[in-house]
Amino acid sequence: MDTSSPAVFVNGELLKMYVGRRVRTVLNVAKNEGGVTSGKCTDGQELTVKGGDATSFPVSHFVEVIGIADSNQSIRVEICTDFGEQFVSYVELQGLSGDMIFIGKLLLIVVTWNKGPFIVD
Amino acid sequence: MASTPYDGGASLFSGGGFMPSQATQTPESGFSKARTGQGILPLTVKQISEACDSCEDKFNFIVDGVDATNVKLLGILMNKNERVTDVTFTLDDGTGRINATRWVNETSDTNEMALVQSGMYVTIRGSLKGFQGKRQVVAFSVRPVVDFNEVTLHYLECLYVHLDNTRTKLSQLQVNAAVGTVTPVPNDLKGYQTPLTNQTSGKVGSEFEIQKMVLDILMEPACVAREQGYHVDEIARRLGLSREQTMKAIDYHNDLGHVYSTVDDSHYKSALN
Repeated sequence: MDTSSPAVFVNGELLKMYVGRRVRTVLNVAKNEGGVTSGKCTDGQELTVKGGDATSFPVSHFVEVIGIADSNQSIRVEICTDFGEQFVSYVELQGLSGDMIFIGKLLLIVVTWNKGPFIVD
Repeated sequence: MASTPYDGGASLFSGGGFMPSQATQTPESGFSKARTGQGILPLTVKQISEACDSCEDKFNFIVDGVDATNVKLLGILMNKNERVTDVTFTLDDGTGRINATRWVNETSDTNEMALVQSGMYVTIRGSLKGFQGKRQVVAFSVRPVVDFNEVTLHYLECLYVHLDNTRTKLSQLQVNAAVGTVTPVPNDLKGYQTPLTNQTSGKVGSEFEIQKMVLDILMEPACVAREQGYHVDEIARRLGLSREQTMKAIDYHNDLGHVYSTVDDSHYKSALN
């Protein structure tokens, strides 16, 4: 078992905190030009990704990107997966109650997740 | 009072699914013990890794106080290596990597494994096993993820189950303490138990809370499954209490017949499950 290089869940805002580290996020592809893919992240911020086979994904598809955070707004791709056009779960996740934080948007899950016993100590 | 709204949600999972019922009796004998009595726990690799570090017992595997023999993991399949009798691979779920083996005996097993390739998202269900000092998963099902909302769902399940297993006892305690009664939730205590209400009514001090916490630990399925129960020191360590405080609470429950000593005067099991 190896937990030495976890991929931290980020959105556009959280990416800034993890420059140089391994991160993961989901983008809604808006543009594919010259080996660079750009799209909106879960919080609406525009991110760009370079490398890997990210450029092969069609516009409007949701793509999960795992890689190293290059800068505040870009990720160097290690692995990317096409989540298709019907990846709705990050937009609205309501109906979960209980004493867990009320979940309206993925950001809250992301924060809970990264602070919990899951990824970041 | 019998259950909070939160418990209501969790009870959806009771028994067969992710959330093993507190009242579940684990058969005492041998082989079937690892296979039955518990549901499948959705986990991350990091949770398994942390539990490994803190777990002294090499045979029972416990995460958040719950037996984690059977688990569900979701991640990217890597380093797939096909052999005549088995397929080995690594699963990376973003929190870490773990090795897994899928034995292939039947044609259906071979067909199932032919569908998954390195780089694909898969859901695996299997048993946690220790082999040559390392933990690995022996998978009995490896399925490709078709709808990627399942990825989010799995992480939510992990969060939910983790929070449920770590917080339920605390919130029950708080609710009970607030009204000065200890009305048990149906899952926890059987009807034939002497009501504790009379003895503890209005007494919400730390002594009562310690008694409740100690009993909760002894009623965990993992403790019930263990032949000798839990050692006093183990309970004291988990609750951050002194041995004297823990022993006092155990003596209290022992007098009332809630718990009994097993192999010696330091090991106890619950009589209420």
